[in-house]
Amino acid sequence: MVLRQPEVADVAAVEHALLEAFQSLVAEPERPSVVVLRELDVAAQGTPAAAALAHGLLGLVRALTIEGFTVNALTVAEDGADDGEAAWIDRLSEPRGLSGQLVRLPSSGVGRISP
Amino acid sequence: MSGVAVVTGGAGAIGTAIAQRLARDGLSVLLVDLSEHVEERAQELGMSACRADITTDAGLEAVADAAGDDVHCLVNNAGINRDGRAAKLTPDDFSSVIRVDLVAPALLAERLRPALSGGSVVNIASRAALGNFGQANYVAAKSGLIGLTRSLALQWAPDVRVNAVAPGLIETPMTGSMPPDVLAKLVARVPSGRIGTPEDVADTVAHLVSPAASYVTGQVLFVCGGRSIG
Repeated sequence: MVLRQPEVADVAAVEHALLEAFQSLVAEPERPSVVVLRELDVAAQGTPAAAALAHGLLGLVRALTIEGFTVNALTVAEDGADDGEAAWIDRLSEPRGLSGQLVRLPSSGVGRISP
Repeated sequence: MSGVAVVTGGAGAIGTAIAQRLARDGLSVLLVDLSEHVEERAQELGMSACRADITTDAGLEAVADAAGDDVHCLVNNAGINRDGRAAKLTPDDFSSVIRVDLVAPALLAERLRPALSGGSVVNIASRAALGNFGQANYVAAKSGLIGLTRSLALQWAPDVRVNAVAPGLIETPMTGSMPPDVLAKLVARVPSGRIGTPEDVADTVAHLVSPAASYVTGQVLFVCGGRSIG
């Protein structure tokens, strides 16, 4: 399953967005999932609400991995540049493959703190 | 230092330690808590109190009114947990933790922003933001709080600094109620070889809101005895 970071109008909307994501991820525990995040928000350079959501989703990836789920996160550029997104989704979706990993496709995060 | 320090979750062990430390540093402390004990606790400590539910608009307004217009710092310490395996968490278990631990701190910071000019915010996150078993809701909330911290730090610079403290295993009534063998196993995983104290957290918060940290913003300080790397 591929779950893409949704848009949120404000920080109050983060609660519902995280709940929906959580319910989707736990609905099929045997199925590997990839959470696609916006690099801008993982780098906390967008709105506070979007940063809170992106990092909350990243937290879910890590917590669910510890509970035995296969789930990874991938960041993509705002401009839709194809950095091999589809190939990475395939790789991160392999059963009994990687889990709990964050792959950042854009190189804009280099030189900045890692989430 | 002068001005008001707003400390949410002020009636709890860590909140009280933070409040006492900031008061010693010269700040007028406003203890905020949902607990009925907050006024009594504030009276004992010679501080002001605001009993409020910061997940409501009325609660946020009450805190803003009580804090006034000279807020030196906001310490978003209030938090809850509703632990359980992901498959067993109810929607309410999940949402209530996100609401209290992530959304409310964001809304309170936003509400107090005009009074915080020249001051700072410290969000109390958790080492658990890096991942923990049986805490999908709490991990998501605290990890989200770190994202919020970094974003607000960028948005509000250079006027207001925003940082986070991520405590690990800390001595509180909750850890005090754990079976001794369970607690001993947890302590054994801490490189520093001991459980942390509320004062360990309070000292770090005091540093971050002080002029000594005037060049520090958007950072997360782990107060976990090295557990985050060990």
